[in-house]
Amino acid sequence: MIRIERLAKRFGGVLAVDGVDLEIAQGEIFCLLGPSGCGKTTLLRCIGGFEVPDEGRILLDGQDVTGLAPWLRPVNTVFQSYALFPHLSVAGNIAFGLETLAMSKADREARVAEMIALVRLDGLAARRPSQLSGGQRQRVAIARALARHPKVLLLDEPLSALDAKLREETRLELVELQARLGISFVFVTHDQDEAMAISDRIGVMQGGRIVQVGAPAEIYDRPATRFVAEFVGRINMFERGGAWIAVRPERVALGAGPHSGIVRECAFLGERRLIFIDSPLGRMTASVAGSDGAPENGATVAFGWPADAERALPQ
Amino acid sequence: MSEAPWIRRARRMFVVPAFAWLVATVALPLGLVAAISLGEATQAAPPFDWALNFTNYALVAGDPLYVEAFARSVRIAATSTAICLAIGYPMALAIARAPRSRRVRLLFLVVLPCWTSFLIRVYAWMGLLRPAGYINSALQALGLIDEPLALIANAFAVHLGIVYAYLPFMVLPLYATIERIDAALVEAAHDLGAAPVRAFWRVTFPLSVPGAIAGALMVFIPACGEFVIPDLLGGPDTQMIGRILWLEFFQNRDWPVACAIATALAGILAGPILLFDRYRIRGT
Repeated sequence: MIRIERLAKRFGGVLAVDGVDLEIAQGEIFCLLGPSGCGKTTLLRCIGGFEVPDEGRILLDGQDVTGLAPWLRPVNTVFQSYALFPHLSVAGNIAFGLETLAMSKADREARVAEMIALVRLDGLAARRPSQLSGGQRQRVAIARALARHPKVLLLDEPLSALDAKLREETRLELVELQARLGISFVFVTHDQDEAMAISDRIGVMQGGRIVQVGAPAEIYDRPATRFVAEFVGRINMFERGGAWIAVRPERVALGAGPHSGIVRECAFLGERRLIFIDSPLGRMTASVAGSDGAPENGATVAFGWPADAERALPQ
Repeated sequence: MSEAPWIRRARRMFVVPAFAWLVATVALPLGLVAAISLGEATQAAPPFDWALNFTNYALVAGDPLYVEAFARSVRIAATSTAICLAIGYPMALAIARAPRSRRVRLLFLVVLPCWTSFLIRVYAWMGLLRPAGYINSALQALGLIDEPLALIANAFAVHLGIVYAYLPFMVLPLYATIERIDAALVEAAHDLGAAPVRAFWRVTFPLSVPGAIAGALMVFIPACGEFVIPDLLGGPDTQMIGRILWLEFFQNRDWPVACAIATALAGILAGPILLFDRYRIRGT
């Protein structure tokens, strides 16, 4: 569907995107995950046509779109701050992209009504963006971008402006929406929970490069590098025999095992309880069920993990 | 929920002086002018008697000299405003779209002429436009013309002077409005299939209308009452109401008629301001 070949983009002397190769399949939710400044937004903007890459190609359905203007691309974007037109109503915003398509007025109105129903904004068609809540604005942005029936929907941190509760609900809705439409979603986020929750595959970015591509479970269980291991979820990391060994906190069992240390602090998170232990391996974290009791601070505990919980990583 | 008393006190502390200033510098003088406009001219100092009749307004409304001067002022000011908008809009757009580092320098160039006295700049135009001025001399020396062109003492020179003098007042509010338009909105328009020209007319332009209206008022209002430019660059057929007012006041020493003209002018100019205010209230 989307094929990116050796893509590079420089700003001044800085390489924002540094030789990215990537393939995104028809109908998948692909997430570009990474810390701020890793190049994920620049990569998305290259796909949208807002940045022209210095090197490499972008193919959409086999067609080279690298130099194509954004208004000629069969992709649409949900912008981070939504970028709704403040002088147009909800219906006006959604209809905007249809004005340049060859459609009758009746077809256009039908499409707008269909989009409004799709994102459940019924009754708000005449409102201005300033009269909407944050969640409603986000729905308008999605409806507006989907109205042109793009082959790919690009979403730039679309949930970052919502509060935590709404964000979780919206995640689910996005997944449902994508399943119904069957088009590819390319999603940019710095929030690993969000990426894990909604993606079919994740591309983890660091310093302009994609360091690992895989399904969420693959990225979590078999991180390719130390950076991925530390960026995606919590991890214990220590050196043994010249290699870095990574162990997820939920694989650490307390009460028995070859290691021991002193409990420094316990953090109760509801479902889970994190226990921080100072040991000869360094500061270790164990994640136990929240319903399990907490050891006392200062107590000495034994701990260990099954052999398959260990993963050796290159530097 | 009512405000805490200290907030109300603090607000009064700021509002009262501002209000007093407006009363002392705007409302009182305007009231005085309006009051004198109802009086009668006499040979005294000051040359009027207080009265309460509207004969001066009837005189102004009935005399084609005044009516035509009013009409001409509005016409010249409106044309000049339109020209300012036509020149100023592309300038403001170009400055707002320029790299951030260059914007300050470009704005500085727009404002720079205002650092010289207004009067001197109008005199400079006289030097350029006179029959024996720099432009005509240069054209004659080049052999392009035999007779000097009529560049001064006509409507052309008056429009030129007004556009030249008031252009910065059009550019600045326009620039401020365009510069604040989120660049993501234009990108969104591109994303939704609008090529640059279409994106401009559907997004940038409608969002810049308040700036254009503010700029138009800042040009139109002072241009209507303009006195120096038509006096120095205009001819007998471009006398604007400001000039008539001056004549009534200083030559005829007919203060009540002068005041009636001034009050009528203020009334005419209040119209567009009130319209703008209503537009802004509706717009939000």
